[in-house]
Amino acid sequence: MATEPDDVGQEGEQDEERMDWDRGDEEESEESGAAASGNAESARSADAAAAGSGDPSPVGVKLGSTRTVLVHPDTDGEMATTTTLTCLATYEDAITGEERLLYGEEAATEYPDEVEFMLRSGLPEDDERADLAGRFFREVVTANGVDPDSVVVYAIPSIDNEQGLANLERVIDDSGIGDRAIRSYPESLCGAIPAMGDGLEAIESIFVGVNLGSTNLEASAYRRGEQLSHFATGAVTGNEVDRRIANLVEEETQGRVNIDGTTAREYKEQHADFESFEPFTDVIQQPGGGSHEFTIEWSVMEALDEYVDEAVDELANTFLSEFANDSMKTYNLALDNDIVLTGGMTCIPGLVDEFESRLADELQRDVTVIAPDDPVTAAARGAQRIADRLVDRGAY
Amino acid sequence: MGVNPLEYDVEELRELRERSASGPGEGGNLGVQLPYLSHLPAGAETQAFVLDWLEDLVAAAGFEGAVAALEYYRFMGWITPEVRDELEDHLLGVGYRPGRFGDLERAHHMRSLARIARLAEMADPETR
Repeated sequence: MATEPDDVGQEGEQDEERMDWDRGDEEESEESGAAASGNAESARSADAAAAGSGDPSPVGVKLGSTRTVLVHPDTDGEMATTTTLTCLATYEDAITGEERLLYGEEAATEYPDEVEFMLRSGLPEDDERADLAGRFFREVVTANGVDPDSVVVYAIPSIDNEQGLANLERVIDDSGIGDRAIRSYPESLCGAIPAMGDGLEAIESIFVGVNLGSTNLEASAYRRGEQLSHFATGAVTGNEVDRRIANLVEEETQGRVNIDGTTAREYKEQHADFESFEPFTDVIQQPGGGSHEFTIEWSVMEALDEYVDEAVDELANTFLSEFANDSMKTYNLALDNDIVLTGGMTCIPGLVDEFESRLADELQRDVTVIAPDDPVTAAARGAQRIADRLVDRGAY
Repeated sequence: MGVNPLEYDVEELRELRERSASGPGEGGNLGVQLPYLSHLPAGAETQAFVLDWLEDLVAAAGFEGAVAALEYYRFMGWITPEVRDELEDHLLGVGYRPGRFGDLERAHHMRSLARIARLAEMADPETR
């Protein structure tokens, strides 16, 4: 998806009008970013649909370090789910000489060396990454015609990083959506909502939610929506698995093959499988010409195996032991219920069952571990359900 | 409101769920405003009364059954979510015992309702 830099600049000029988190009904929506980006028709249709009902659109967003997911009503009022890689690349138009912008899979595929994953640590670390994240997110909401007259709920990793959160706040402020209201909730809570029922049953439950993300492992105990206990570590992550796969591939091929992080992630996403892993082959071009075909037999699953061991260890021996110390009865009650795994790593076939088995061994008690259907989009879908209820309740 | 996900409004979130659940009755033709008990009265007498009640629930249905019963009473509109949470905290002072909600019979719930009515009277003797 390409756009002209001036367009992005025009959207950026709306900043001052968008600083308040809760905006009154009397505030008028400004020109839609979609109009500036050539998607005016869809944006106007969405606006018209919202204007017709009089209610704002309920939107759920997960701005993830690897993928961004939007769940929002489309022009027909049907719920649309958009998933895209959280990355951006700029290039110079050969004809006009202007800077153009690509995001998502297109950017990662066409500009693998220049592409920037600006939320690699989970939150925008500095002004530069906040600017890039802002440009990226405006492009995504514009291209998808997300209604500015909306109530937006964000599923956000619970990372204790004041500067990162301030930068993210700027990204969200400048996005051009959420004119009526904006809320944010922990990713592990939002992701558990679709796993536990068709409504907001998770908010009436006592459970442990574990988010296995690219940039952190986050565990929380919830009692009827209240976060009782929280733990996060950046030491056990999907990104670390990618790095480990890259190192192990080099070892398995006796140093003949070096792969980058993107390729390692693709190996993980396409081939990792705790139930029925099959060795696979790939081909690299040699610097001096020719190609080299190689087979990966153990690198990917060994990295995953270590990951699950470490994740179970952190959960059982750090988070859950502290939780048990705080309140043994609530701990027992929570572990009698399902433990909910969320986050991108949960997509790996068989990982949930493997996690359950190893956690039960570690805790020396039976536990049940579940995951939502389509874990990648679960947090955004849960956030959207909350947004929907906020709209129903008129809480904007 | 900022974006820190650790600072979300729990009460607002719970209200969203309350609205989404198939709601409790409106008091029917009893002319009584639900919930019956909107706050727990203070005092040692109340404390002892509450613990007696909860011990009976745990004896009949175990810890988990008692938690489920409190949620059932919240769902029925007999107590507010805040009172339920406070009672759950008191439950931690009662010994653990296995059991389940299904072990409770109608008579148990009738006794619970009577106790809730008594607590409501203790909480607000003027209007009850």
